[in-house]
Amino acid sequence: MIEFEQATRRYGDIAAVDGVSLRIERGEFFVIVGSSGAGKSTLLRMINGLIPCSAGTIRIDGRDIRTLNAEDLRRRLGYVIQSIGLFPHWTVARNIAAVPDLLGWPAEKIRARTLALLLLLKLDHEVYLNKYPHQLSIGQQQRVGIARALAADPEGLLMDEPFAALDPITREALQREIASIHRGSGKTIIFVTHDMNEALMLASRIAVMDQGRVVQVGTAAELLTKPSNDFVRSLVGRDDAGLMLLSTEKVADRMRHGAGEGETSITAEASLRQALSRMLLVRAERLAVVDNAGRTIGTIDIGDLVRRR
Amino acid sequence: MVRNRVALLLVTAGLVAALGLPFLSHAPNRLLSGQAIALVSILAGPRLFVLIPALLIAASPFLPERRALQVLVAGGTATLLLALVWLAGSEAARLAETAPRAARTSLGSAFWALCGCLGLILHDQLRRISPSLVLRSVIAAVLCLALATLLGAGSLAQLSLLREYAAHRDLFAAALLRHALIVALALLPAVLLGVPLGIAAERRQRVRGVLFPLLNLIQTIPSIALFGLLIAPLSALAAAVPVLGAAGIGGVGVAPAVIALMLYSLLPVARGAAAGLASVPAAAVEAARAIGMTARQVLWRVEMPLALPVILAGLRIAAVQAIGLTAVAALIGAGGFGAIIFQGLFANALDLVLLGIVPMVALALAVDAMFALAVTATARVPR
Amino acid sequence: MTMRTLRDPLTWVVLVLAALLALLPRAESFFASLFPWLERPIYRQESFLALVGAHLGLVGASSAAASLIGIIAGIAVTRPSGAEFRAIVTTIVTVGQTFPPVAVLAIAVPVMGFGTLPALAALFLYGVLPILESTIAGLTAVPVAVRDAARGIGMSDGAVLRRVDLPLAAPVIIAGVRTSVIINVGTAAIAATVGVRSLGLPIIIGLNAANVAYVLQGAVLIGLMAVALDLAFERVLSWIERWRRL
Repeated sequence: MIEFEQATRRYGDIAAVDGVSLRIERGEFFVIVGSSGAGKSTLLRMINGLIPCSAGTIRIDGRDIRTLNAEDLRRRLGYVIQSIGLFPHWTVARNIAAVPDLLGWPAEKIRARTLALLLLLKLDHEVYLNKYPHQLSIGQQQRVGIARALAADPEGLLMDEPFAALDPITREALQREIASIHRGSGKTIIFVTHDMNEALMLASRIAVMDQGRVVQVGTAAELLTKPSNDFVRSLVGRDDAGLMLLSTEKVADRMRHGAGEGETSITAEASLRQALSRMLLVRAERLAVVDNAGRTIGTIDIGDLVRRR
Repeated sequence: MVRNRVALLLVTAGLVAALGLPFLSHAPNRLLSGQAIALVSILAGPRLFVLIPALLIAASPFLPERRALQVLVAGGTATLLLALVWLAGSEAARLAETAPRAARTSLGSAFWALCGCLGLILHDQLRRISPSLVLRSVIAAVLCLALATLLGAGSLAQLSLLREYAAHRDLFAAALLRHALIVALALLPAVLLGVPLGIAAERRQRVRGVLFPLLNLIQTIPSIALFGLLIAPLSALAAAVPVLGAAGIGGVGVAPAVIALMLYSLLPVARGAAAGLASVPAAAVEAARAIGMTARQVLWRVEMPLALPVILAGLRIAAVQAIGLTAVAALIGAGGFGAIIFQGLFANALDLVLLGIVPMVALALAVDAMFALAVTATARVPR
Repeated sequence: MTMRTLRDPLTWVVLVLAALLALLPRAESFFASLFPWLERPIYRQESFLALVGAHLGLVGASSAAASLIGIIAGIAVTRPSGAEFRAIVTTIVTVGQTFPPVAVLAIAVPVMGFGTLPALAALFLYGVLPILESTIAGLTAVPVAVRDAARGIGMSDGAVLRRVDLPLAAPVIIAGVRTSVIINVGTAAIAATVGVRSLGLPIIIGLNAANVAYVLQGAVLIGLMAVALDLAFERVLSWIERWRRL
């Protein structure tokens, strides 16, 4: 559980982060969103002490981070950045083992954990274990980056625009991966992005930042239906807000279980927005819902999308 | 149809040298100048076989650029090179059988010119065959091995250069050891001091602003002047602290040479360290800090391994420079190959001069190649 | 004299050098007090001024010739017609520079005898190498886009060379000349061992006669001269930078 209390960071006269007060609960997928220069990355880096506070306090589980040893803290938090930052002179295996190595884990434990993580991030260990970063595509590198961040089973994961440098297809795949990892592990994830769609898709709660200040904090639905000012409104899209609202829920949330009706199908994992898109594409008002194995488990109707819950 | 103008130029130069300049020179004693012996005059009987690779090489500028042919020409060039060396030695031996003891047969300008041309032709062919540094180093090593075998077998023993070596064997060994010692004694502190200074300069603007202008100033001072400047204080120091004098540290000799060389080596080493550190990808350093490595762990586990190739490149420059500068140090009594060179210079004995220069240049080339290989080997990040 | 000239290191070095040249002949008592055991504390066989002049003459003549040949050869090798030869030339330059300058001097003398001529030849031959290297480096560093633009406007090859390549490559080329000159200052000093008049004479004679004072005088003068020349080149480089920005 992370608490910001009037946290401020100044560079000369300019406040990159200006009196931010926030509370991030354990297990949340908390996204910080805003345009370039809004202070999001700075705020993130204040959590693990890479950037110190000029004023205000940051507390982790009740303890002021200034009282904690910086390196210990960073070893307890995973960190993933846009430029990935894999160590070019180490193999994939050694990159992933970086933090466990620092913590002095026994070799066997490290090896087991590395294999488990490669499996989790869908990298065939026989192929990738001993490859060097320059031999991987950028998407694969970022997967290794995430594996490295998760290696020592950290309490939380800090992610700074991790998918911004990837092509749209890889980005989408990794977004799904990280969402699934969050669901599976229940870890706290603090995610910075300038892409509102990404935020709406992934977050349990979103904080919107503008010029160093937090302008609004809330769930995706709250931001979309009750934007607190014009800036937030412009971010979430004035005319598209309703469609964006659809991306925040899954077919599984609104489907009707039972027999499947409809010629075309959609997976339960897909977003409502994808369902609407498919309905429009095939000109049907109803789609059958299938699970990951392809078995029909229900139906979703266009009315289900609009209906209030 | 000329396919390879470089080869044509080199072949022409080689032919002109072979026909117009003396291959060997034979004199009844050291003082008198020698009688020129042309290459053509000693090609008789089985020695005519050297014409086979020679013709091949002469034809090479007109041959199509096919891999097999290039390999053949390269092989022919190497063979001819070795054959010429053997030829010189063999003819010198033949002449020695009938000449008085004081007579000497020395290598003529045609020999050196031909070796130079053939070496460049070989280099050109190898470059066209494969740009791999490792391959070229291996071939160079094989050639050296063959040369060493010729030397060891005594086939070159009657050449004046080698007779000079035989006459000064102990001197030569002492010079080699002393030369290597001075370079090593200078480079070690240069690395221990220069690398941290370079790292500090890369991190802090203030250090950079003081360090590099100072080191550049030192580099500007000619070596003999710096040696000279160090003599007075060092001899005063030796006079004041007799223990140092007994240990061999004094105004002249190895001490001022090592100190001056160390100062000269600081610039390439520090510059290499600074550049090496600057070349480490910022993302990797940021990630290293963020995962929780201490500053020392970041330096040793991430930055130094990645900066190593550039640091080694700086060390390479420093080493080759030091080998050359040590030759000048002979003037202040430091010994080394320079002593042999200057001894030959004053005695007007080209052979003695060569006896000093050839091994020194060979040493410099070998050290240079060694470091070049080290740089390639440690470069784990293809950029 | 403006304030800038007063604070300029080049001014100071030249002033100190001039002062030393004027004062050294009169500094007998100073050196005698430093080295009381020496009979002759000041080098008097030649005037220091004459030696400086001779030294500068050697360096100047050889460097001028080396610059001419080096730059022309560098231009030739970077033209499309000469591109084939670049690799060989680069190899010669690299291998040549593993020879210390002393070696070139030491080979020239037995071949050409003692005296100024072999020294000049050695200084010239060795001096060509850094200039050739930097000319090639400077000319190849000219951005392709700029040359394309120049050709596109309709400049002939000669005009491109004169108006685009050389001005843009000038700083690098001059840096090479600077390196060559500084090395030559050192080699010219060593040439004193083969009977050439230069500032190396006091040092060599001092070393032979165990006269530390001679050595010191020669060393200080050579050092100052080298530093002055280096600073002068730096000044020239900064002028070029400013001129290019106009």
